[in-house]
Amino acid sequence: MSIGIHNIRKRFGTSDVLAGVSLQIRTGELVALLGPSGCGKTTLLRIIAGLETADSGSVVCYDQDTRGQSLRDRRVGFVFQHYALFRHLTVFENIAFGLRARPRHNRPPEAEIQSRVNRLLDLIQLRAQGNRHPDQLSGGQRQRVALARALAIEPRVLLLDEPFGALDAQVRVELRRWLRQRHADLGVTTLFVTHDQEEALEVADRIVVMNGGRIEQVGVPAEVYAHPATPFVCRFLGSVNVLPASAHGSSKVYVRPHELILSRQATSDGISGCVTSISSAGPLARVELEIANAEHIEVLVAHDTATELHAVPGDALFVTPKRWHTYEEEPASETASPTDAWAI
Amino acid sequence: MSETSTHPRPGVSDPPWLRNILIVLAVTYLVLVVLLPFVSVLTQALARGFSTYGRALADPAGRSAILLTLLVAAIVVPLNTIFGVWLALGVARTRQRLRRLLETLVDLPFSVSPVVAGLLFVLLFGRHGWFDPWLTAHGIHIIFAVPGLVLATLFVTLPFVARELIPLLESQGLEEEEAAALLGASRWRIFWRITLPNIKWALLYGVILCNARAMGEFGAVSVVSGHIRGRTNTLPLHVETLFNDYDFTAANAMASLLAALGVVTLIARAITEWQIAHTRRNRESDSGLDSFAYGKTP
Amino acid sequence: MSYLSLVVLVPLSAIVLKSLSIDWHTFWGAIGTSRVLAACKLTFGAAFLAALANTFSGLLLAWVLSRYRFPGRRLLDALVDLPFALPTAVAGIALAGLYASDGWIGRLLQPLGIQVAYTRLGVCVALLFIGLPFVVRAVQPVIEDLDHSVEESAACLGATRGYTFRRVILPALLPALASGFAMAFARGIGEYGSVIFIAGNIPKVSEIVPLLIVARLEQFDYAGATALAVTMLTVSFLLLLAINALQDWNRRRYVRN
Repeated sequence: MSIGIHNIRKRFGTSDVLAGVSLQIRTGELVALLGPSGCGKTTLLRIIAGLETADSGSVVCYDQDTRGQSLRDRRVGFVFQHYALFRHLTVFENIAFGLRARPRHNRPPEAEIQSRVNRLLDLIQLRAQGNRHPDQLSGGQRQRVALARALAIEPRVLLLDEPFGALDAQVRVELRRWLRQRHADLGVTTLFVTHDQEEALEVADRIVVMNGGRIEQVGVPAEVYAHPATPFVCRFLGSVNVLPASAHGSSKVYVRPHELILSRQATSDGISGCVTSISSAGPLARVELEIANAEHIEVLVAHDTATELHAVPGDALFVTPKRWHTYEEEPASETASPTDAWAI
Repeated sequence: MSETSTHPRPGVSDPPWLRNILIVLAVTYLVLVVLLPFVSVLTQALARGFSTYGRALADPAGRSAILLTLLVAAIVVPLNTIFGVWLALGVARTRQRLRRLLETLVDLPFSVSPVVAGLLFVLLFGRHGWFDPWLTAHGIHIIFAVPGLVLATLFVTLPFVARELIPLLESQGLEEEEAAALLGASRWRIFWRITLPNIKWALLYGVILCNARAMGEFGAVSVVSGHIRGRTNTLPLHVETLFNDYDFTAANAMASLLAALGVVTLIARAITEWQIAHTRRNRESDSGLDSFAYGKTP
Repeated sequence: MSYLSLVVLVPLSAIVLKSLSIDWHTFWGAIGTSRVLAACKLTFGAAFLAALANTFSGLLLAWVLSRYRFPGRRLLDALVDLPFALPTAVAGIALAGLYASDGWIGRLLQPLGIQVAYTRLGVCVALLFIGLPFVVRAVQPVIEDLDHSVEESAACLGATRGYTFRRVILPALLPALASGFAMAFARGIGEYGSVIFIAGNIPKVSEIVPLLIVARLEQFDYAGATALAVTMLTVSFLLLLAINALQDWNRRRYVRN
């Protein structure tokens, strides 16, 4: 176990940003802290880094309680959303910073610093840009430099705060795949914060879903997606239709759009609906229907299926859930409204 | 960044011992270098009690110095206010390149030594000056007379109003004026009802600065005045005269009046800065034209 | 625009034209005397030293005022502007009174053998007072706008607070410091009212160039005064260009991409 987080609490003013968070992170893991803004994920990350202090609880890093440990001694690599590069230094000098900042007795000889930095430049594929300044680089390049800079000090833990949040969509996708590969190469315990569930599902070994200062669920991406533990997790990880209580019981039913079957004939658990629109959602077709009580649901099917049905707006179709989730208690705050399914 | 706090954090804070030392150093330095001279003026003025003020004001030379200073300010400040506003509006709306040149030009009286400024006017209007033949022919005296004081003060206080307004106008942009123009308002109405209220605090501060310099100007008026006691001595010059006569108490008494002016300027700065920041915060929370056009409060 | 040209350009061209009607010989004669040289050395030297000292103290004050919270901070912040708001004659007699041999500070320095009034040191002290606000007000906004995450990042990478200050924070402040220095220097060389009372104005010892100009005017040596003024104007103009360039550098540096 490399990082143990025990019952961390943090209050800012009158609000509880973290209300008793506990978590265990294994050596070499790539973990995502996922949640909406304000859920406490960034604060938790900063507490682990030592940039904030918790009001109560402890963080144990490699069998050492980090309370009272100075920032410099923690050997934590931190990457900020807006890179925080040193603008007056070149790319090379940025990466070398942590090594050159060490006290003399601890500092490697200059030749070694140079070779280490060059190796990192190769790793981030920016060897030719070593002499450039940050403002001459693109956003994606800057973030790679920030990562290399954090890696230069050979940290035991790598922490990334919404590392791709400031980048274009395309660059984001490329860079998160690249991060996954680098992690596979280096094997450093990594923790990253994101509000993008797609990113978390694609990159992480395990996901920690947070909401309102608490952990809602921890698990591997497939598990969390297929078996969401709470309505919040279900809604947050991908779009979901919330069907009102019906034959399936007295509680609401959560069904994902692509886990519904469309048919012209009625089925035993099917629900009848009237098609309101049909559009293309990339590789799939999106069919929106209005069902009982003027509620709307979204169904994603393959284009072929939609064509076979010859469905047009106004048609009556039947919708059968293939897989669904129900929850015993619905917390008062989680009031499902007709627009819930598209609220994400 | 709604989760991060604004209180001191480990990565950004200096150790407490260092903080305390630096604060003590800073306070000591300011007290020694800035506060002490200021306080010494007051204590010296009151060294012989409040009667010093009575005597100094009873002195006809002192009274005329005060009146002259007030007269010069009364002429210079309104003129430079009007001109400053007009200039600022013009400069803030010119193209980028021309604007830099104009801003430098506006700054010129500010960056020139006051003595050189005074010399300029002596060369123009003094004996053997450019305009001298014409002036003597018409019996007009400028140098060593009140008109010279007015002109020299006009020159050195020229930039103050404009300098305060130009950056503000640049950052505010023209949207509101354009909206009003599209709604059919006349240029005067636009200026009076839209431009002026938006710049009123910066304008007020510029006027106060202009006035402070107009009343307190020394170098430039010293050159053009001729130091004729009772006739062309402004208050700062009168202070100098008293000082040279070794009448230190009276000199400090008169100086304390001017020092009070300095304090008023500082207070005005604090108030207007707060107001400008307040206004800026309100503007940033506006959604464009909504609050203006529909009278909603932000 | 016509008002501007009348009030600004006409007097300026007068000076230039007047100096043109002076031939080179007279010009150099007016400038080349040992008295002028001494005055120039004093004016530029004292302004330089004072601006330099103000750069250090200005950095200290700006840092303390921007980064720390303590009782009386607002008052201290307002105090920084006092030298700028106070009429120069008031500053002049205040400093003269304070550093005279019977003044509050002069009294303390005399047993140590340090004399401030009527010496070059007095000129420096006066310029120190006058130049204080320039550096503080130039650097303060930059300090307030510093990106905290950059400092946090340096700390995470293992730098001490001192190393971070030297290698990360200070370089970011350099353009503003240089700009403030230049402005304090420019103000210092032209300063008149604050200096002449404490200086004593002893020729070749504690006489500044502006005073020399006034002295020549009083003797109706217009040519001599103008020659000196033209020299000062040239330097002022060059400084103004330098200040603008430095402010541009500053603006480019700390505007975020």
